[in-house]
Amino acid sequence: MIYEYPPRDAPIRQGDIFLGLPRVEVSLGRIAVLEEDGEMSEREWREIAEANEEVTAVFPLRPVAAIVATQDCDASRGRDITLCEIRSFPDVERKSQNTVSPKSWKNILTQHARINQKWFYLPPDETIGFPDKMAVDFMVSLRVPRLELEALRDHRKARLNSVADEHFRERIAEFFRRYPYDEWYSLNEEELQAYASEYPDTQPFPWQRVAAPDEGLDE
Amino acid sequence: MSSSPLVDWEQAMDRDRLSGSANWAVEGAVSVTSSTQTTSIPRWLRHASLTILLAASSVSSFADPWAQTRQQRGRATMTAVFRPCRRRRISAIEARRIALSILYRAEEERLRIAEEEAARGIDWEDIL
Repeated sequence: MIYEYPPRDAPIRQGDIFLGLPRVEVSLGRIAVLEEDGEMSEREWREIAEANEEVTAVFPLRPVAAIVATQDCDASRGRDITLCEIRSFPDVERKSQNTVSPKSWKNILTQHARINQKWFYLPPDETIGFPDKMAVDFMVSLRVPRLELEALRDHRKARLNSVADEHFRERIAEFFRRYPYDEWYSLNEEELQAYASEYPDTQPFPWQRVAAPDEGLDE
Repeated sequence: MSSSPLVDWEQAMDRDRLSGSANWAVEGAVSVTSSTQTTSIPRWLRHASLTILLAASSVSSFADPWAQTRQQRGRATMTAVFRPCRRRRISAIEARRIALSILYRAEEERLRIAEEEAARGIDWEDIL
């Protein structure tokens, strides 16, 4: 499909797919801390941060599949490498959880991909160990030491081929280049009314006027 | 310091609506389903019992943006000293439960947000 299978000694590159990397989940709320006396305590992160304190804490971690997001230069020299988690496609894009027909999949994987830029589709591949459709979730990132990842290269199962690699590079760049804007800013009165009926909290811009429901078009 | 009442961590551990992690299989292992309707704790979650001890250091190669000057830090530390400490002694088992509850909450919230997002916009099944 869209994958290549590099030799073990190939340098780590953007688009390399690894299995079994640690994903840590942290909290900025109440956390478990190992105190200097060897006892455990439950503490607020805010308190720790305000005291500028160095602590040892307990967080959960589990092995996940992930793809190298760090671009190649940094992946060969930097101290850390950033990856994004790979999960089952319906987990990442919930619109697809009941999708069955090829036509619907086609719509989601092509058209919807242009709308929702938060993921990158990965097709199934038995060699990698992907039995089903998968997706890179740009919202979930991991950071691992480069040298230790290089020592764990046998966990690299594949990398994106040149076509997919270029697309992945552009997609992840697009994801981080998005900026928030109020999409209704250019709607006329009737269009804004239609929009507001779906999103009641919409605040019109000074140059917009929302038609009241009982206002006719011939005013 | 007296202990506060325990949160019902057992309830948290029985939640079965978490999405799976990577739906992948490796030689000798079993693929994990991504079903959110499982009635037992998924295999990946059993492996999630691994916990780590982190050293959360405030030291960086250059001054952290939020790190304060020595004078300001002194004031902040003094403030922290006189702020009521909300530290509570817990057992290692409780520490593990706190850690796992962090994981459960994160996965639940992620799933909820994904569901909300999926509910918006085009329903591709309806497109002819």
